[in-house]
Amino acid sequence: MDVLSSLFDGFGHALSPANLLLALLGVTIGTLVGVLPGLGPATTIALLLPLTFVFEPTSAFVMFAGIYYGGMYGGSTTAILLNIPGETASIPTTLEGYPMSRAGRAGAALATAAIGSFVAGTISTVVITFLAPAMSAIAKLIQPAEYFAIMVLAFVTVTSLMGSSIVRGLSSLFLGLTIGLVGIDQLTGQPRLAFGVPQLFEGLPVVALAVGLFAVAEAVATAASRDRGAGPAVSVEGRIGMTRDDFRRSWPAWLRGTAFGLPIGSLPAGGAELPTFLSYNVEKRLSKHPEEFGKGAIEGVAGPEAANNAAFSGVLVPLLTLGIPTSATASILLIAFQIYNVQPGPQLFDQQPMLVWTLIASLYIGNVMLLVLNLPLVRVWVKLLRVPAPLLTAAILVFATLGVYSTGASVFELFVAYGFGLVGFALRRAGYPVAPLILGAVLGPLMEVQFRRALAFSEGDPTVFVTRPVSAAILLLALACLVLPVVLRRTARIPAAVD
Amino acid sequence: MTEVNWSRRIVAIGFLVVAVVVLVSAFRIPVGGGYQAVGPRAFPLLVGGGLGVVAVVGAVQAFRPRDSVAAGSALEADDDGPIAWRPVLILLAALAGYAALLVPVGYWQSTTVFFVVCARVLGSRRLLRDAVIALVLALATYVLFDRVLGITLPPGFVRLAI
Repeated sequence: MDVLSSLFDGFGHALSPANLLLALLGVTIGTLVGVLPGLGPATTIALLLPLTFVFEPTSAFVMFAGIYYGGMYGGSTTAILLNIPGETASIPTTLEGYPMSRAGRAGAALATAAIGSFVAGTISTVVITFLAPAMSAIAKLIQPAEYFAIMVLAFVTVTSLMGSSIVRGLSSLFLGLTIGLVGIDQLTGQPRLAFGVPQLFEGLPVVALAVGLFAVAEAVATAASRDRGAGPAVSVEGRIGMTRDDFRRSWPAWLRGTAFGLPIGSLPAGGAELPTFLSYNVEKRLSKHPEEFGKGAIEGVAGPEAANNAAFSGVLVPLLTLGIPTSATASILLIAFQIYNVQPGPQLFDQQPMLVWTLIASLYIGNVMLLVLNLPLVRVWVKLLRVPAPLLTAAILVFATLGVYSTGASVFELFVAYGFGLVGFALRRAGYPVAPLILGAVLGPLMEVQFRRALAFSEGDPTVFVTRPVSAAILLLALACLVLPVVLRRTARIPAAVD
Repeated sequence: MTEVNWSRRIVAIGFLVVAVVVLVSAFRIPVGGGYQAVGPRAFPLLVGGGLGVVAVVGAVQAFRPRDSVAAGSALEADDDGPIAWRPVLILLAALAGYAALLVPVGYWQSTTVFFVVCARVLGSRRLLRDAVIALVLALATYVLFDRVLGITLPPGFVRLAI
């Protein structure tokens, strides 16, 4: 199949007036929600996910692409202006972005973030356009045992590369897998962990789960910290834009950030966190102005922002071609696909060519729209930060409720969402990461399918996973990813204790 | 920090309970004869076993006299500081009431009330302003979803003329 002609077809669908309007709407709402403090891209997408179900699949995904980019850009805006990273991957942006805005250079920081995201997003989308069909051809050759091993690797890397405790990360992951077990077993019709509740026979509703864990939990956390007072008021002083010198310092950082984010994001492992931290450290080392780091060095915003955006685009490769999400945001995207009865994976490019190519074309369009729309409108978004926190939280809960109710018309699902809001809050307080949980809940059922297929082929012999060389190698790699960080941390701690 | 991390201890116990429930109910799944190489029980046992192991390790870590709380780095965006329990509990009660009343009372009616209560619980003191915003928001979303987008929301006892 010719990639370019498929892409042109995709543009043909995406550029219809109705779809363009939806893309514009998606970028606007995505930014609008993403810019609210505390709402990272995953929360933004979870909250807006139900809204897209009104439309037919192709239009919905066009809108989704807009929300995806808008939510991400909104997240970096709060990181720069308020020192509030919406998610782990935005932490490096706060390190230089916030000092820049304290020094009255918020305009330059926002501009380098927006242009850097555009550059990285566009380069990544071009690469995805050609890489994804090729990957999907390879993915068709993967056997169940290897598929299972790749999923294990994805789980392990997402759990172990970030967060301070592997045990707590794995706990969240296994809890997610447990949630994925709930419901009637598709092969034998046995109810599992349903406790006789008829509403649970179809499994725990994943939309309610995602909305609860992210949006409701965020609202509960706001309530819990009510007595601590509000943050400082913000305003953007000066011009939005970069000087010639800013530009000269930014563009190599954008390209280097893309070079980190895209390959790491495209692997069925990792996610977006690692490349942003990597990019920050590299920029700090390469900079001709190392003394500025920590006080507002523009490279420190340009690099990680580009890396973040490139990784976010790269994550779509394993998602579309293998059906494996490697971040919380990608898990929620997978939920969106499943709602429409579209199963991402090796067959997706053959079975749903129009959907996939329209989605890829929308990524290009979303990127352009974000740049055109956001730089001039940044002052409008910033006004949103002045909305009183109580009203904001009340509105989040109202929209969370509306979203969950409109997908299932079920009060039971509302209680599930609220319940998981409480669970998500408790996990956050106790220092357990939430991303592995949602990943496990979404990917768990698919993993079981591959697990049982592999064992069916081997006639029940469980050694199949370690006797097939490729599967064994991937599992070994996963084990290394699990054990190495612990060992490294131990050895790093000993000299620290001596000091 | 030598201070006890209570939320971590409570959550660690919660994980232990879930692990036990998963394992017990996995053993109760009938294996059923037939040609299935792997029945519905194998994967739940694997998951339950894994959860059990990490839950035990997590609990041991949480109940160690000096938990390495201080090791939490900047990578964790988790929130510290005391929990204001009163607003949390009232908020949860308000949510439960919202869900319970949504269908019998109606979408826009219950949403208006919930919004006002929620804003109040979270510290807003301008009742009239909140009520106006709540009513506008509730009616706007109701008309948009129910009338324009065609997603039926509970009408409740007062029918809108539009």
